Amino acid sequence: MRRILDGETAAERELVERFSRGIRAILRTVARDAAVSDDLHQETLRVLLERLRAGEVRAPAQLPAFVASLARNLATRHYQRARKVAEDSTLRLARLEDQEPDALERMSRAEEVRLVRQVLEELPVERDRDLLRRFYLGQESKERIQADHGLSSLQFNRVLHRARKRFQELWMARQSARSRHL
Amino acid sequence: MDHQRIEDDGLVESYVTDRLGEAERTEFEAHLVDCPQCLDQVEAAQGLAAGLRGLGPSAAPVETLPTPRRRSPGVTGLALAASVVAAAALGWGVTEQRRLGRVLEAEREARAAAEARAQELARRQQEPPAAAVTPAVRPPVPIPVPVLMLVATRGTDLPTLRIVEDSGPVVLSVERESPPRFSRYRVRLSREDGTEVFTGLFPPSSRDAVVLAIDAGLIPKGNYVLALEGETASGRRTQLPGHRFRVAR
Repeated sequence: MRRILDGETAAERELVERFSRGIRAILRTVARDAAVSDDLHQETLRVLLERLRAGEVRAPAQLPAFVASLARNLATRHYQRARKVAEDSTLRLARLEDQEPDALERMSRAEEVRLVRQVLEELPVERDRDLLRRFYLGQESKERIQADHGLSSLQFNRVLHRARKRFQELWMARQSARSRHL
Repeated sequence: MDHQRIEDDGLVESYVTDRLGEAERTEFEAHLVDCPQCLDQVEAAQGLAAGLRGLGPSAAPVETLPTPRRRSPGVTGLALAASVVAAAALGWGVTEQRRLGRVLEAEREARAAAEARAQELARRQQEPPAAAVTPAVRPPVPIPVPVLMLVATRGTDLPTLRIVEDSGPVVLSVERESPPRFSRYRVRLSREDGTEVFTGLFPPSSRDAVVLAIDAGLIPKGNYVLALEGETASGRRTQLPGHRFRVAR
């Protein structure tokens, strides 16, 4: 932070590299559109550098919390403005955000979805498949799912964590095998 | 915020599915934004969530009770889900592609070892033995490649690897110990009667798995045992629980 205050561009580059990925992950939970997410990502980094150059954050330990809240606040504000515009112009927000993707994007989505289905079916433990489907679809409460499986809250968290990691590994194995031969 | 708490409280899953309260979410994000390990987890979970939503009603359980979502009061659920799927699935694809590059390298080594072993076995079966074996030209590899994930379970069902083609790669993904302790693994694959099929030394492919790519021609229909021995960086070896599985054709 001292180096940024001194106007060192290398320090700014390091800062961007350090936080860029985390900002993206946070924005992905808020922004519902890839283009909006990209714009917000750039905007967050721009404002972050501006604030740091102005000396608004002094304690290095507070930097991660500052970055995270900045990303979320900018995204929230963006959607508040978008909603306002939508209401003013009598358009529905949902319609603004649900524009038709181009053909390439549609193909990418379809391929991802197909692979998720395939990998999910290959998970060796039925409980893993059930937990992932029900929890990630987000339509049921955690309490209900864990009751159905006779799990305590802690057990449920651990089982779900492991199930998702198994899915991830299987997905990666499948992808790497495919990409090698494509 | 420590990783044990994150795992015990299921914070990654709750965060991605929007089940955290504001205070907890703020605390988690302050950690997440600067933690590559948690970012790996969150990105993977975001991709999974997006993909599952994209599957639509077929992925949903038979009985579901819709619960109100915290966000988007004015937004139709299906329309929103579709746009969330788009953004997250594409993002995940890019991230995974980078991660896969690392896995791929490890798998190439496994593949090379498997091919060397396959050629050696083929040579032994040749008469007269002096004749040189010319590596066969491989037919186009079928996609998808058969994959079997081997995990420690108490279930009675034998995991089954279904193989359609007689040759080409198949992938065995073996779950690692948690937390990871070994820097490489000695793997011995044998038939149920003890006949050795394949042996080799493999680095882990990731924090969670050892991925082996072997030739389908090495494993005809039958039951198999995969024995594992973990080796630490200092060379200390530990026998690990083996895995039994079945090959069906």
